Amino acid sequence: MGKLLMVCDSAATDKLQTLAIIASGMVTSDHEVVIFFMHDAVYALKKDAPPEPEVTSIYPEVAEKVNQARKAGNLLHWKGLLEDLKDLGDVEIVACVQITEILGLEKEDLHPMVDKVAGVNTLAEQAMLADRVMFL
Amino acid sequence: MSNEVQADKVMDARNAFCPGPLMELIKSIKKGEVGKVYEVWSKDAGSIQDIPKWVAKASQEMVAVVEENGYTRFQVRKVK
Repeated sequence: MGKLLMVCDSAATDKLQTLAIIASGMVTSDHEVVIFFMHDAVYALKKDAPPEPEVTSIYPEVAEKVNQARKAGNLLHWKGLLEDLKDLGDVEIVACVQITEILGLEKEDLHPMVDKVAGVNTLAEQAMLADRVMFL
Repeated sequence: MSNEVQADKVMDARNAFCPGPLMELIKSIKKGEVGKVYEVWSKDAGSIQDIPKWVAKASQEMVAVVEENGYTRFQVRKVK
């Protein structure tokens, strides 16, 4: 069993979907995953976040077809998928303390799947403990 | 594989893209009872590799993989 640290600073729906799908592959392969949300990604975790933007792509056909699949309910939503993964395996979700404070938020203002709000030293520690680090 | 049995629970995940079918199966097995057979239907091409791989890794029992017209049925017995 290995450990993957994923760092995401984007609230782009396609990035968050990709993050959750990769995490699902790791967890179902029995690996540990730590996800560190930074910058815009923390905003996407707000309980009262505005409606999620549609998937964008430089290829209009990609955006159109992925958004159709999402609307039809044929793609697992990243939040629901991460919640399921936390239930199934070893997944820790961390929100960056800096942007959380800049936005005037507390941990309680974020999605319940967030385990803790922590700073860059936690990120550094996790990076050195992980077998791999992935930035999205 | 043609050891097909009567499944205790069937999940039709033919409309779900990866990793939907695998997640449906895993969630059902996690909540399910030892000895019961769980069957998931998938059109996702990745399921052919991903589901048997997960079953082996999770030390569950692959009972049958049945190719249908345009989709595959995976039967898995929960053994632990």
